Amino acid sequence: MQEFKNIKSSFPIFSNNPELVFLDNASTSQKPQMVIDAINEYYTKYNSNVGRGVYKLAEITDNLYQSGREKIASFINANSANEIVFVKNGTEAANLVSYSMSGKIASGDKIVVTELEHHSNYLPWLELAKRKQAQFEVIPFKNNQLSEIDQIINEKTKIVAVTQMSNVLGIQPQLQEIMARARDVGAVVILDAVQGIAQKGLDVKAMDVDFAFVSVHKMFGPMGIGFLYGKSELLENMPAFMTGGGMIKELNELNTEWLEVPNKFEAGTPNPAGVYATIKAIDFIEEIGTENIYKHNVSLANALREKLAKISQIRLLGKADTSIISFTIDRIHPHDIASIFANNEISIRAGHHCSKPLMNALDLNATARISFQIYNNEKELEKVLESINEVIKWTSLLK
Amino acid sequence: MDLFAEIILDHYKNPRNFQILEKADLEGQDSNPLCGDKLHITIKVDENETISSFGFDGEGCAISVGAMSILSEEIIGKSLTEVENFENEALYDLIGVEISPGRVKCALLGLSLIKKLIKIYHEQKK
Repeated sequence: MQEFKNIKSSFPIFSNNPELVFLDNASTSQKPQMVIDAINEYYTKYNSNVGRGVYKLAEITDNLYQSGREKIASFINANSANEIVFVKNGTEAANLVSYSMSGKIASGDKIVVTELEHHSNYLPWLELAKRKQAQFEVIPFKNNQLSEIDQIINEKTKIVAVTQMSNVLGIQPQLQEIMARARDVGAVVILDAVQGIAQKGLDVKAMDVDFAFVSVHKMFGPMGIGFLYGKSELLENMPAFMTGGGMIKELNELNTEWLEVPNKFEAGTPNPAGVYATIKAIDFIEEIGTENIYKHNVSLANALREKLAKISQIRLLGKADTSIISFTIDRIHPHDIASIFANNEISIRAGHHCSKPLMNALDLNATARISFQIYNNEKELEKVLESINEVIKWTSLLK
Repeated sequence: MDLFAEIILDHYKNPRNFQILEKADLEGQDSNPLCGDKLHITIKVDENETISSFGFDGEGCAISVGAMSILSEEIIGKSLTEVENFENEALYDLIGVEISPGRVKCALLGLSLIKKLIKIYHEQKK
């Protein structure tokens, strides 16, 4: 872990909050200076709208915006920049696909999700199933893996929604198995890569997924920008999701003709500053390498997990060799655990983490969650353990 | 926020009025979507709309359960109108610990539900 010793200094949040131990990275990552500077640079030097002007600034903005698409396409190994649609976040991407694919779903068809899904890759599919009177089935999560994949994904299945990495447990479900079965029955697969991309990378060609979506704020970029990857032939055969400015070729009273993909799916003024900052966020990740980021995070998580496993009052969920630790402690609510941590300037998360189906499967209402990122270090683990001891002391008063 | 405050700790450990009343006049449930706290509240009133008995159960953090328990002792014997006008700050004073912005929803889970139930009760009586 030596090589990342000085990386914390790239993140101004820590010089402004010197005592901060930020362990809520599954919720959002902190931003390096170069990403923050990019937003400032965009608005101070280039600001103009996208695709609407012939003047110099407009050309610069158009180029930045397009180069963002190309940067992402290359980062995730897409065939073309036109397979990248900018959205504001992962939730919007999933909703885009679920609405635009409505016409391909009929009553009696089946939509499958997994018990590991964040609500953003669960609710849009549940709602689609309801709208079309389609079947909706959830692949259960048992013994730290998905089960009954082959039975649940059947010939009626048209869509399978699956996460690359659980935001609660950090576990990566068996994507290959799901892909193989989905290909057998001709179902479309949409991958939630929000949690996974900064740590495991995303290779849409190798994975062969049909759609994938990302929220850039969890990969060192700003909030309010995300992207959807979709195979060209699928995107081209889908109707627009939102309509309005910037997505139309012809409008003749009642007759409309949309722009080509991907502009067809980007109604309204987009977020070029966010796109420019995304380029910088990818530069930052590429400089370190996703493998190194993941290795660093897992090594911290494993070290902490080992220590926590020795405390009898703690129930550890999930498994080792992941970058996220979800846990509960006897007789104390996770929210109270998080409050004690907060008193000691340690940011952890407590709650259901927008993953109610998984909470139900684990028979819990909430967990406390510690999630690591590249700027965390071993010294911070000591502080975590001090807070854990404080929580344990508190629970002894509740006996 | 001092979670170790004696009052909260005592009420969290041994919540008062922790039972569901049969044939309640007002009854309802609510949850805190952030942390998954759940409260189920039952209230009986006499002919003057004074709270004669109060019972709750549920699952939650020290703040939500503790605040509900403390409040339950306070409102028995009060009229529904009085309880409807019960200020959040008055509850914070009773709790006796500083409630950080992130925990306000926990502290107010019970009081908000009670106020909602009173509103429904009065609307149904109209």
